[in-house]
Amino acid sequence: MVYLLLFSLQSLAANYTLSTSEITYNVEHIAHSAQGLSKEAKGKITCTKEKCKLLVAAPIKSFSSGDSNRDHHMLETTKGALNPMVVLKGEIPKTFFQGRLHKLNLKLLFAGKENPLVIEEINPKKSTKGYEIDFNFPLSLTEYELERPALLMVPVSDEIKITVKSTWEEEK
Amino acid sequence: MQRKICQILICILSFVSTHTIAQAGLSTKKTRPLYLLAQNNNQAEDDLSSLGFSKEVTDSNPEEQALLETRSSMLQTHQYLGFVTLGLMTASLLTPESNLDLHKILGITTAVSYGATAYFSIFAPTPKDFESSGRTAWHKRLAWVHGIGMVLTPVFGLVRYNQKEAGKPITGVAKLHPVAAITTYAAFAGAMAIMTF
Repeated sequence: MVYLLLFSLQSLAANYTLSTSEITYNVEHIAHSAQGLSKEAKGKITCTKEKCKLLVAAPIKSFSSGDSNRDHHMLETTKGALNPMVVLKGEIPKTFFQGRLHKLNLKLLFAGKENPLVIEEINPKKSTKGYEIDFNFPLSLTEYELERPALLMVPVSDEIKITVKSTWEEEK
Repeated sequence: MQRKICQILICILSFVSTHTIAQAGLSTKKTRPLYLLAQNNNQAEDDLSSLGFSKEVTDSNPEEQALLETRSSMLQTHQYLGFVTLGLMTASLLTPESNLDLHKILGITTAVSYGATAYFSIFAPTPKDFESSGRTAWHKRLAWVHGIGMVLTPVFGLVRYNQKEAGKPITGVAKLHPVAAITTYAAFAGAMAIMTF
């Protein structure tokens, strides 16, 4: 009985750490498209009896598109030297890791501006490495008051597609 | 007529150069108020340090931002002047050799425009630990080809011009003037085609 009680209390207050991640941005231009990848995000999910809090952050500088000039232009456009981190945070349900489809209302802090972000479908999957959480969302440059980079005087599309692949481990 | 064309071309070029130089010099873009993560928001700072990010990573760096803005502004000018130079290069190539004076004038104007284009690339500030990669690396490699070409082509052209003026047959490096010009043009156009945003 005592064991069961202790076990249930422990599972209620479980914490999770981001062990591996791949965050990709995809930007479109009439001339060509480009992808930038970061594997340097860090994150945690801290749970109490009442709620769980998600926090994931990645340095803007860590995104690499394979082209040095584009990366520096991206850093300049996003004011990355002034606001070096992109941060995703918010509350998630206690039932998050119970293998169901969730809709999350989070906040994204990017380029010095915090906007609400709704993840329509997210479904954590248990694997041998931990919990795998993959999701994607569109990001509007205009909503973050960012000037769209241009080539041949034509700006890139306003909507950037962000894809997140992550693995989370339960803290022991 | 040719003198007039030359004057018009030089006027256009000097206007573009002056305008773009002024733009680059005045790269004081208005900066809107920013939430400086590491300075104004203690909660955010605590959160980020709890994730294991050092202050070096999370601190804002206004000097670096200013450098990046100047760099972007200068490279954008480099891009616009590149189009002007490509237009002039095309015109030089298409001018028949029978119209030697116009060809010469266009050649000189191209060289001036090329110099202005190169200036904005060479003197754009470079961030610390910058290493060219991807299309940028190829853009730079091609710059070596058209850079050398832009030195050789006018030299060969001058020799050719002098031989023609003296009524001598075209010999030696003078024969290579068209080859050098076409190679330079191809490398320059290629460098422009692989530009990225």
